[in-house]
Amino acid sequence: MSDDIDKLKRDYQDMRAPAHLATRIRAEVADRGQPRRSWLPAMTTVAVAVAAITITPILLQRQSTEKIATPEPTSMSSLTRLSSLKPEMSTPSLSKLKSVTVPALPRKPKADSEQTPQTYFDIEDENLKEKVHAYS
Amino acid sequence: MTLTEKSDVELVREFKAGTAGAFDAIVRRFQDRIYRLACVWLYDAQNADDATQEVFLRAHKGLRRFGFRAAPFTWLYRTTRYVCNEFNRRRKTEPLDGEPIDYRNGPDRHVLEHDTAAQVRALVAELPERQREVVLLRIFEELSVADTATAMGCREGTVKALLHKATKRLRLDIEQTGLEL
Repeated sequence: MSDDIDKLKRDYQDMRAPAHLATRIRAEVADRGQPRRSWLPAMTTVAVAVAAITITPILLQRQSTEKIATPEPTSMSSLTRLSSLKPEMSTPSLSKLKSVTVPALPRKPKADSEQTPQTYFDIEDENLKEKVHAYS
Repeated sequence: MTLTEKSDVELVREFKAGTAGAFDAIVRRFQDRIYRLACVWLYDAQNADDATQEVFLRAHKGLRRFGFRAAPFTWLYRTTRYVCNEFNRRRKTEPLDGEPIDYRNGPDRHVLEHDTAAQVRALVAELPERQREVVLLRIFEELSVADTATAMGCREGTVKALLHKATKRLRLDIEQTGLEL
């Protein structure tokens, strides 16, 4: 190998890494050796969001049922409010009552005073009477 | 035997076994070599610190699965090449402050203009990529032909041929530029 190349080789080998490099590498290796926790904030956000989405409807539902079940405070003002909320019913007037037409009931048959009290209706006897009336 | 006295392979074994301080010893042993390679491979040598750091961070993960099929430095070299290529690609897509990038000249030499590293870089950068690689590994890093071949992913014969061409051209370049090395 020529002297020139030999000299070139020596110059190349004289190059040294900066003194701080080993410390820097050691620090970086130690840093990367730590378990990565960068996912933790994102995971927490997702968990909170999921919990909020799941729980909110349940809470709202419970709140509404409680509202229905809880009686209103009985004060005079609330009572008047309740009465005003009642559906209005028309009170029937007297004239309207009079004008109501009721169908007439069928006449009650009068009981025959000459007839002996009969417990049954004798059809043969009736026929006989009619025949006699026709021939006479 | 202390960690610094152990061979490269033994050191990596200690690291895999979880010995305290083994990784620090690996960093101390290889940081200059990785830094030098990064200086030569990067378009912007100012990023050599960051690239070296990234290589060792990947080594901290990757060496745990190291299978000892190649030398530990070979593995580190390949990682360095990969990281430097990533840095260069990023640099291509994001020019710094509108600074024009002259790719014809390879790595921008103006960064370390008056530095020895700049002179080395300037000469090596003139070589085609494969020849540059063989010069860095075989001549500058003094790897064996076999290790150079493993690092480059080629045959030993290819390494020898590339080395022959590279030294010839390098010698010519030194003569032409008249650099006082």
